[in-house]
Amino acid sequence: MRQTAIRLNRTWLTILGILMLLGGLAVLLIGTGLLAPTARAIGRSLDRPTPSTKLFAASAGSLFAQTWVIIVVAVVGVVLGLLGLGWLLAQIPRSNEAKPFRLQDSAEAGLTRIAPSVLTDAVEDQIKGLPGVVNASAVLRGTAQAPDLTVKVTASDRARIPELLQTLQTRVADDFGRALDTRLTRLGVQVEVDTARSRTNRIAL
Amino acid sequence: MSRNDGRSRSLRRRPSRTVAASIVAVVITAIGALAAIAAIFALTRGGWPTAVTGPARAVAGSSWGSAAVIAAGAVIAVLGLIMLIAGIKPGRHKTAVLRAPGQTTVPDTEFVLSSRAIARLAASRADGIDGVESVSASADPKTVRVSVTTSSEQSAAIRQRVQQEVTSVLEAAGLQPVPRVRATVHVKGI
Repeated sequence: MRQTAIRLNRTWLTILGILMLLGGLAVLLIGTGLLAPTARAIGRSLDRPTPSTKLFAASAGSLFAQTWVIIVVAVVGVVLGLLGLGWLLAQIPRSNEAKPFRLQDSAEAGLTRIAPSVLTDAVEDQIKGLPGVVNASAVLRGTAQAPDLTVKVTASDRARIPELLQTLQTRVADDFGRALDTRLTRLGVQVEVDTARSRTNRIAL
Repeated sequence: MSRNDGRSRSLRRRPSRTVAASIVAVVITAIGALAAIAAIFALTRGGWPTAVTGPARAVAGSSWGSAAVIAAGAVIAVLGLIMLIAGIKPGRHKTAVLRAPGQTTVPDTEFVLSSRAIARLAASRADGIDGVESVSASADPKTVRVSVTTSSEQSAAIRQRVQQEVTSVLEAAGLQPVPRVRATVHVKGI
């Protein structure tokens, strides 16, 4: 139902993973003295740094005392912090719901706008009244001419799922289309099962 | 792919690696914030804070061949490998496809059942079998694992019945393909 940042996460985990793996391997090669033999094996000549070389030269301390370097560090720190925060906020799942539908927009008829929540509330109420359904939630995407409905239905463990799906893709979809005077272009249904038996006020004889 | 475009994605998705991404994002945010704070301190006080200069001198004084540097390189390489695997390994689907029933006027339909729902259906059906005292079940779109406890000696018959009944309820639900059912029976000592 809600959409997560799959592509963003996988892309950056892969990029950062490759960089860290290569960086770590480079440190290991240098630290164990295997840099020169490995370089020779691939036809290169690299005999520095050696395991006895210091990580930073003596001049590094005076470099970081210069004002412009400190400013660069501050800017890089702020950018990194904002990027990290942006990535963290992207983990919040989003419904990616449609904007309000413009059903009529003419000089004669005026403008009619309908919020997606009005339509999804009606769909949810209709689905909750179906036999075997414990709960339902819906998200409307697409446009007024090409609406796209995604529904999550929680059914009891005794519900007849094929019949429920048939009702959703015929009666519910048709009623929705009639309300918008168009046809649903896509219907996605995710079924969950609730085994709690005490939620309904019906008695099965 | 934007999540502000008002378009649907397939309900049959791979894991989004939210946990790994969140951890890395927090670390990047922390590093950036600490670097910015230390640099602003250096600009305003005329020198880096001692919390930065002390460790920096220790790191700068180390050589590439020191144990600490080699260990750090190994840790970074291992973490990088873990992140790389998390990024490229597809991971299991969390939902299974349900057969579309009958005719419809909707041109594009997608029906799925979550793995959690599959496990609940399996557990609920197994729980109703005579002789079964308790059930636990776990599932993914390809396999359902049902573990039952009984005090009956007829464990083989119960196991077969659990397998048949659970397979039957998953077929009736319309799963396509029907997951393989593995049942194990634990006999309680009386």
